[in-house]
Amino acid sequence: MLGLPFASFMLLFVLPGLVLAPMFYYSWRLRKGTWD
Amino acid sequence: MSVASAGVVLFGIYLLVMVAVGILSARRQSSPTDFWVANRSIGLPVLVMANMAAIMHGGSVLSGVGIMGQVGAVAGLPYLAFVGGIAVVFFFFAKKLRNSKGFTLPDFMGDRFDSRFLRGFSAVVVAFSSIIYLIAQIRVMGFILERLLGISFFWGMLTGTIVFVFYVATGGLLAVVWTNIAQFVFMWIGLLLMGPYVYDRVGGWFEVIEKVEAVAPGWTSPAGTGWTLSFLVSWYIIWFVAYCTRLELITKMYAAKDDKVARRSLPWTILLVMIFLLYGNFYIGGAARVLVWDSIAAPDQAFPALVTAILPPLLAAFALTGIASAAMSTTDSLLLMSGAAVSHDLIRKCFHEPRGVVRDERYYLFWSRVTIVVVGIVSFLGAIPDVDLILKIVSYAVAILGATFFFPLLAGLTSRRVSREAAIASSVGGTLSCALWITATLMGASWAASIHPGVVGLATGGFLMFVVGRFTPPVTGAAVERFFPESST
Repeated sequence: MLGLPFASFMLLFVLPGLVLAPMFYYSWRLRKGTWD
Repeated sequence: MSVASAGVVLFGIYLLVMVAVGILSARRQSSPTDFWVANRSIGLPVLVMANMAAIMHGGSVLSGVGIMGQVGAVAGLPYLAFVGGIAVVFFFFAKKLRNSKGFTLPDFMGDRFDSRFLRGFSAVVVAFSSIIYLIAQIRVMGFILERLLGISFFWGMLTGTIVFVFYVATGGLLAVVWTNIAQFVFMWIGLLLMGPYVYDRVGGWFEVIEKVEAVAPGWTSPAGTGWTLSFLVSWYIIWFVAYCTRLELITKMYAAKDDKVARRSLPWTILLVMIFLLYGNFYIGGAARVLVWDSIAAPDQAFPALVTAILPPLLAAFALTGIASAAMSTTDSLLLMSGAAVSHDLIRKCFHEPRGVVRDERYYLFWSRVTIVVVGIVSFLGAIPDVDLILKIVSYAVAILGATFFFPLLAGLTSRRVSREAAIASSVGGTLSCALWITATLMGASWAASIHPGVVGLATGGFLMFVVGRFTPPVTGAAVERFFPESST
């Protein structure tokens, strides 16, 4: 019952996460001083 | 105990805290650097809280619950655009803005493109769009305080306006940041307190989805219950650009301790925003659709109705104070921006400095305070007539800001080769086309209604930036070196 519609919803979580991940990675490099 | 009596006590305490913060931070203000950018001393945790509180406005919960309840979870898809917009600030804007040592966005426009006209124009746009934004937030406050204190909508708006005008005018950015922290706490507690009660009535995440789908078929579908593709795409673009040019956020970059703190605050800010919204709009919005949808007259009433229906009075008062906090924490930043736009950008930089007029710092602080009070009064008067969905008003304000600043910021901070003429054409052309489209939409023109004014403004701004830029020489000299120091050595 919650097949396809439910999958489309997961985009709400997965897609923002994909954009957030590189920001956290570079943020961590900023702290380590390996990125400017 | 009723919601109103609990509300009077709780909100009374809240207001006292805000006023006390205003007075305490006023004692630390001796220069414009103190007043507008809190002496550029804000560290990471405080900056994250202040950023988050500032960009989550009253409508993010109030209208967010309303719009998700109404059209379905698909209304949350543009949240991805929020993260995308913040990523642009993180990778391209934050470092150069912080290191340019400005106070305001008009400072950037004036300094980067070496143009007094652009500075003045930007200041007017900032003040004007802040007023539109403030109108929306004051209305949120009216809605909430009506429920919370049992007073009329008019008195609710008036009480809210007087309080934030007072603490911003006295305490400057330091007061804004300190109150933002208190507001951050209130926002989260207010919303999280609802969790167990909503869970008790409608169950967990998956149960809410099943139940809402049963009462509103299509709510969980990719199209929602009446969301068109063009609507989704235009909101998507608007919010992406809005999050690149959110004044409340961009200006806080200037106040960070250093450029690394400015940048590192951004992923944490937007992570908290996402958690706040997915829980606060999606879960609560679904629950509102199931529990109270039949009893409300307009989507914006869904949240207050839900709160009073399921929470005991004291907790209901807490949740409503939380929303009032979200509204105030955005309003105060914007109010400060308009004060700086008039006193620092218009009076000092556009009129006094070119004419060699020298005034002491207290003179400019005085005029920024006067502006703050005047903008507060004008916004209050503008909030009295009955208007549309709050989120729609906010989207007009952010559309104008996006159309004015997006391309000059993007081009000006990523390339040395941008001309003054291109920046002026993009900024002025984008603003005017956006404003005309808003006017046409409000006057009911059917051709205007299908495309969001912000999309028109951005398309015009981008086109002019590209075309005019091809035929005009780039700005050179100190204006460029200030923003691209690494390539001048």
